Amino acid sequence: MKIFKITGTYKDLVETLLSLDYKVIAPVNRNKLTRFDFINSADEVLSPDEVLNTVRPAKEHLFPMTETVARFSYEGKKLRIGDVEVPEEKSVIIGLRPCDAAAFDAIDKIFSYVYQDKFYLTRRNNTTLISVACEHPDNACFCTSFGISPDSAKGSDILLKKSKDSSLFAFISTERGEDLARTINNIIPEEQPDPGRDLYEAAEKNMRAPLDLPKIKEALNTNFESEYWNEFSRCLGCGSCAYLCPTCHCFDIVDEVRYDKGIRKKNWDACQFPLFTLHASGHNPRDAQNKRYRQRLMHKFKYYHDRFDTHLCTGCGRCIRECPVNIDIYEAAAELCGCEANI
Amino acid sequence: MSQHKETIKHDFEPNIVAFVCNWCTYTGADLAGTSRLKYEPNVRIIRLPCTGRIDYNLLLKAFESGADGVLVSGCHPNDCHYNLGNFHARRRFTVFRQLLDFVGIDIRRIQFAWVSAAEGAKWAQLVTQVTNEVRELGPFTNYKRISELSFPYKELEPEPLEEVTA
Amino acid sequence: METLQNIAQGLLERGDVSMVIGYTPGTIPGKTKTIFARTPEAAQKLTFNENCVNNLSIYLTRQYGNIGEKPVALVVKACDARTVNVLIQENQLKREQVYLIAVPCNGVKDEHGVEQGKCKSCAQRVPKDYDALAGETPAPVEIDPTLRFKALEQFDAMSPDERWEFWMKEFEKCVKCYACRQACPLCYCERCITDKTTPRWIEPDTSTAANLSWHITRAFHLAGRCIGCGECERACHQNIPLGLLNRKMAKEVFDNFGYRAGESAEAKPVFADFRYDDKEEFIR
Ligand code: SF4
Ligand code: SF4
Ligand code: SF4
Ligand code: SF4
Repeated sequence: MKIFKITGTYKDLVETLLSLDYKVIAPVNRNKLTRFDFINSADEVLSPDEVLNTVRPAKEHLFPMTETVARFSYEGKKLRIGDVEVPEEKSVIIGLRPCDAAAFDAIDKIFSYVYQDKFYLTRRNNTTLISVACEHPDNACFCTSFGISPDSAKGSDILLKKSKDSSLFAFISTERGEDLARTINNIIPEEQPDPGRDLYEAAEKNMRAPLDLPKIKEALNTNFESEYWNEFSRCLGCGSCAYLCPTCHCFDIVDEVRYDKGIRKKNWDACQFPLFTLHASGHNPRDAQNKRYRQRLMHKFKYYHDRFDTHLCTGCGRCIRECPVNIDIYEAAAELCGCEANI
Repeated sequence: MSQHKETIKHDFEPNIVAFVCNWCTYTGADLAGTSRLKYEPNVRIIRLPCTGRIDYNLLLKAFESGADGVLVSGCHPNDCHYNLGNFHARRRFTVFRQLLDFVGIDIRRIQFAWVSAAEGAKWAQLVTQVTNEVRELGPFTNYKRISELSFPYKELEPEPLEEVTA
Repeated sequence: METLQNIAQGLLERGDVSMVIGYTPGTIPGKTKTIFARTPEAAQKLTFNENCVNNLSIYLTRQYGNIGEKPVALVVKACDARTVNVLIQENQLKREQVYLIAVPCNGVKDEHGVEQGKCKSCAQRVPKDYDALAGETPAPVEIDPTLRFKALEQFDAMSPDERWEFWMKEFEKCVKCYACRQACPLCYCERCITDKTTPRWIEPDTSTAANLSWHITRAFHLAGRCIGCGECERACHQNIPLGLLNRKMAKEVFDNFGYRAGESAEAKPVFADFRYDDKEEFIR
């Protein structure tokens, strides 16, 4: 980890990024929706004081909602299939929160597991992540449960953090981050001592108490058939939790055909939908909504951890904020193992 | 006779899809043909059992596939082969048109008519009128643009594709 | 005056109903969650306040399997009760299968304190039809009836192209999660048209064209049925003003056929009905 001081403001930094040879993605409020989007000027960027976590996470830039993965055409019985290239474009995402940056770390594992997903990985390798530490987490945030904190550098190439007297520092943890930092003249290339984490320690105190993850996993191991899951029959199966989650990564593949040509598209999908597990035979192993919610918890706190030693949640709180029936994953996990939900 | 008249060349020839019922309008259109009535050739007819069967999705698919105008036609009230189909259709289309208008589709591009089996002449005249009106409006670029973004048919050249035999 | 908890407790003690579906405080201030109270003790957890935005009638639809031999009691605001009427009109439910506990309502707010659009033009403090009333009968209020369609006026001044522009910018945001559908108590189809593949009417991708097809479908499938509870718009995290589309449909149905959805459980649904003299100026 290298620590450098930054001159000027956050906006100045964005300004500099725009002058470099990168596509810049930052939090904006476009048409009453906060999301990460390409920007052309620093003025449209929401500053870290204006937004905590955008409604939409940044994952759509590495794993788009809809993406063409193959194309084909046919003439009678002759079928021709073609590849789709992923453009090698350098981009930088600025303004992520530590939970969102850590989320990319988590999903890297699945996208490079047995199959190397070139669509995700090409973009991932060309993207530099600049995150911003959180001074004001809200009542849905619980990143501290996952070994992350409001000023954690996990997953970030560069983390922006303030000292007690509000000077801005860059914490650089990767080579990719260093490469970018060298080209930014707002970053003074002289290593600094750690300015401390006073602001963030204070922030942490107001957050939900960390979950007991081993205990939750233990409870998941033994409670597959528990009555407890009935509580979640109120889930609407709306999928908002999955679509807005920075770590959810399921997709569906469909072919769209017109006349003699077709394209194969990859679209987001979610385990909260009944169709997700519907077999061609008509049988559905997750035939009720509470079973689907159980799957959500199982995948986040057990299956993914079994396989990759990482939890599939970083505590960003989006699913808690946006669930229309107030299903709170923190509460759901805590109460499962008989712990009190310390919100 | 009219068929000897010179055809006028236009800069833009609209594609119009007509959804018609089997019993009245289709037969009416047939009559126009057998009576050798001349009308604009821009219309492609899709025959369905009844206007009550003409789902709004068919109209959307027509626009998605590049239609510049859509025509829906069936039996006059009280003449429906299934008695009530056209009354139900009339209610639905009353509201559906307003929905299209609301999202910004120029509703002059979507026309409704009653044409009976005996009204070959009305059909010929209707098609000519609708064609001229849509020609006046020009190509439906708004819809074509979003449709091409969704499925870039023209860009999907088969050249670099690898061949497999099915 | 009987309280909500007492009514519910009595029903459960006597075994009149299998459960009481109502509200209980949520995990974050300003949020409430659903409770399925099956015991008299659980009935004590019921609550009603200005944050009870959800339309709980969704839990009466078949997919939730809550309707059994015994009736189910449901806590309803006036708008929720209108949804129950539509469910009865459309044969999803019989009136005797549900016991309506009405709660007087002066308007509800989301967790950010924003009053819901539907409440601004609602003059109904209690449902027309219910089995028990939790609280006092409130004094009637007067509300300007033109408020109901006020939000649509901005569109009258726009050209078709401007409206197109407006909606394409909204639909572009849609992520096709179908949360709007899932949250709607009247989107109860066992298999939604969006999930059908042979043929596939609505492409599942998130291109604007595919999103437009979805939004036209959603609005039109609910035309004359939507009672304006606003759950779809509330569920849509992308802030797409779905309520405007619903309101437009409600206005057209009202202007053309004098029909308002959910007013009575006995009325024939507007599109299952017609009049010989329905207007037809638009037909050539
Ligand atoms: S599960 Fe919820 S809190 Fe966890 S990362 Fe996903 S959206 Fe955030
Ligand atoms: S948990 Fe909430 S957000 Fe997730 S599918 Fe269920 S109702 Fe929707
Ligand atoms: S309108 Fe909103 S809730 Fe409905 S599918 Fe689109 S993003 Fe989801
Ligand atoms: S469409 Fe929306 S407002 Fe209408 S009934 Fe359904 S959820 Fe309620």
